[in-house]
Amino acid sequence: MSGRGFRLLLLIGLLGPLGCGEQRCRVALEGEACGSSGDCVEAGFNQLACVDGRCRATCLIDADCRALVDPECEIDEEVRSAICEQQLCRPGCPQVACPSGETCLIGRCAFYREGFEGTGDEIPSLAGLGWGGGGTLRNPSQDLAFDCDGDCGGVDPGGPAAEGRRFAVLGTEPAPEKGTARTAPTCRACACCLDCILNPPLVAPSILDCPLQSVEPRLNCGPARQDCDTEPPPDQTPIECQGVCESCDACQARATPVEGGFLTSCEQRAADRVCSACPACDEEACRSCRSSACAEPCEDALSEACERCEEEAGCADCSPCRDCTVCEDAQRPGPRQLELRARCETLGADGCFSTPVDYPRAQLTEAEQALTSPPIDLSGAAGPLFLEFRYVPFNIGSVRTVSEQGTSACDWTEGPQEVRVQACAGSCDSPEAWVDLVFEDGIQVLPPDAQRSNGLRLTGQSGIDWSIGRARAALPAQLLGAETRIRFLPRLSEFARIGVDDIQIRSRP
Amino acid sequence: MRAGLVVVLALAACGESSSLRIEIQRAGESVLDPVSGGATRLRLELVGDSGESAIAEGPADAAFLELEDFPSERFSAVLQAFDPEGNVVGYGRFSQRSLEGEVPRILLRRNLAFVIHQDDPLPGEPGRLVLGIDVVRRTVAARFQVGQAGSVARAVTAWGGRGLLVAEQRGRDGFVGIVDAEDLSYRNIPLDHVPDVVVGPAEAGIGVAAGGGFLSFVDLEAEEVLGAPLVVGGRVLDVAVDPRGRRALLAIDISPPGVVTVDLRRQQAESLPLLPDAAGLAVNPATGVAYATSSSSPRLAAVDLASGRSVQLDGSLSAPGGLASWSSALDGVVTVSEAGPRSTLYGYSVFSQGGLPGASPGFDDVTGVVMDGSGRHGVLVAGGEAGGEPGLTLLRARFGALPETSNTLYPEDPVEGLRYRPRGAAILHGD
Repeated sequence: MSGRGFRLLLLIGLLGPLGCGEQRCRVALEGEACGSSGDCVEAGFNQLACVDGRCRATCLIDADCRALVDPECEIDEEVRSAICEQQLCRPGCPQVACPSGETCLIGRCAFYREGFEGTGDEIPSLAGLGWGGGGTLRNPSQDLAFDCDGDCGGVDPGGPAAEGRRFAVLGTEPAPEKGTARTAPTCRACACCLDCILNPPLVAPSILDCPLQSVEPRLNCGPARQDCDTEPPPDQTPIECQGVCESCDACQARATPVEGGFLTSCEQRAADRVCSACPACDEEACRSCRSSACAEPCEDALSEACERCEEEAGCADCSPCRDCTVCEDAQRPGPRQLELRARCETLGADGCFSTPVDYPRAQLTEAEQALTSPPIDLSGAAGPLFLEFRYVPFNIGSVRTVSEQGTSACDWTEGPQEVRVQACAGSCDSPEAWVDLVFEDGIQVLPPDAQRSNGLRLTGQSGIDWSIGRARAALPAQLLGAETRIRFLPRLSEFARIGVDDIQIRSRP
Repeated sequence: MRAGLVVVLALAACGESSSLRIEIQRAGESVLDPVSGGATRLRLELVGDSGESAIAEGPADAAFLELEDFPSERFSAVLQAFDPEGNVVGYGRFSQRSLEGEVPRILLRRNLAFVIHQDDPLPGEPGRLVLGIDVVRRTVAARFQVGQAGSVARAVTAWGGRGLLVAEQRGRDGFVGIVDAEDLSYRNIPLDHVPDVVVGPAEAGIGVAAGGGFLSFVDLEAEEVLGAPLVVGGRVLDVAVDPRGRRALLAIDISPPGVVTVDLRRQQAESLPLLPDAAGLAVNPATGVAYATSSSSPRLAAVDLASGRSVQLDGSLSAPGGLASWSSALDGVVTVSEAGPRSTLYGYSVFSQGGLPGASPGFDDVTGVVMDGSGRHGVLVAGGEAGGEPGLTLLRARFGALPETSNTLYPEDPVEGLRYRPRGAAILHGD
């Protein structure tokens, strides 16, 4: 009960014997003219206050209006869907019809609403709700957070949502310096050459004693950079490595030249060569044999069963292929390690080792970083529309490091941390189709300065934080199409997050 | 009467009906205007002596509000400024005024928590820095310093809506500092001792400065100290004052007595055995009843500041109490318990005469908890233990429930870019 309610009870007690008599109580959003709230009570409107000379229902939130419903009283139907606007309860939809194209959502009309709650029994996901990034790479930093209220069942708790129990979390997935390599076999000499260049030994390596280390992704062909204050070592082939590298040049050239991304010159040198055993594995006759008749026995390509099967099946072309993995298998401990090592040594410089042949793109495009809505039909809107949503910034600072794949982290620049909200009305695959929305107070990016570096962690937010972070922007007429999309484009530091919930598109601000 | 701060109530005959016209004027400093805090609506509620009430509404920049046919000539008034989300971003009140005699005054002020800081040796002289923090949006809206180089603000309290009272120390000297809520200007009155706290009644009357083993009465209007200080031992932990200027209570760290009651009109002070280890005091401005908490007992006591009578309350908190503040929205007291390893916020409902269920998350080194005039919004400031970060917690109260909290790092000083440790806070409220 509010203080107002308490005062009204007091009034009821004072005035009841004087004026109410047998009159039944009435619940309505508005009553007759009054000089004080006692007049409202006398007229049977026990829960109304005298506001500007008329009995009215006051409120702070929608729930205050719904709480007026008293089954003991005569109830006006409009009370059941009343909403709180400007601290007074007013009729909501469906009592008040929605404009064309808008639907009634809990007392208010809207063209679109997303609370990330889903429908039915299925556990909702961003993708299942039609939200996600564009392009081919997925942004793992965006997800739905769940207010599991202590009963999380193995799900990471997300803390309270603005409404319901779920909200979307935005983050920016940083680009790696180099990425994760796709590999292919090369000859032992080339593997040794690459290892030697990246990890220069004190003495020239013997072909049978290398490579010693697995190759770590590196942006240059030389020793690792010590720190960002020193210049990166120039690309060079140490004199100790010249022997193995000349042997590399003598290896068989790869039939189809490699055109991988982000390869250094020394990686390219190894990728351009191949050992003689592995190409046989790619021959059609061998592949079909191993995928059908001899699939099971050749799970161990060096086994007698495999060899016997291939002979019986006439897969003679597979013989060289048996040595394709022998050198790498020999590096793993096991009962046959000595045998495999001996067999690898017989292959000499032509043994087979993996080498990077490509570093696929790992840097997400802006479309992939963004959280993008499904198409929204706004073509029926007659007038201007407004996008509203609530957000909570989780300790977002002012600047971020702008990472770029293929360049040293030492050379990465700084940029502002921000989230832009954009819309497009068609051809949304084109970056130019997206237009920045401008919020009511004239800003184009979130969060405002005053909401940064707040120390707030995901799960630590409350309803107060969601009420502070309320954004509202006009949707210009040119963005109101049959397949309008909106998107949240985060440009944040690696671990910075922002929560978004209760997204609405309405004709009334 | 200061120009620009007056609300005039005029009762005008108009046929058979009468109307109250209320002119609203604002502080000269725009940052204290609720409009700058996002206010879009004003709501004035009058409550007459017999409980009858009526409301007038208008836009946030309204120059006046009117009520027709209000039946009582003696009433209290509450003026609230709302933002579009229904938050109270400005407040003003007066109580028990009559249309006869002097024109009643009400001051509308933006809901800012004015926070003072520990005297740490950092750039920006944090010891004399005051930040005005929006209690709804957590933004730093105002920044100013008190005193001069070497000054330290030891405590801050609200002098109704008129200003802030600062317990200022400069070396071995003590001062009663007054921050004018009209323009945030600062002036001070020398004292014979260094005060722990200064408190003054919201409506009128004599203020009190206590600390260093002494208690002085101060005419805040005339800006002069009255007589020689009384000897009152102990350090002041919390304070409460009757808005109508009859009594003040001081919770001191010597128990017994724990509480000193100060008769502001007779300028006398005496011990009041109320509770063991009194630690916090809060006053309901509408009733003039003060509530005391204890750091060793979960019980509370109430003191009628008009008569001085006291009573132990039924029910109790979930833990011993501490610093306290009144919330009209909750219709009770919020208090910070230091009983556990970390400080925790608890609530006591006067309506239901019992502690509210639940407890807040833990805080470190709480130095202030204060609710706004409406009782809906408030802040809790925490200095953070050694190595910890100072915190600012927004509070949002509703009837019958422990206030909702939002705990974040204390904001950085917008000039120095440093995060200081808060020492105490006050929010301007009614007349």
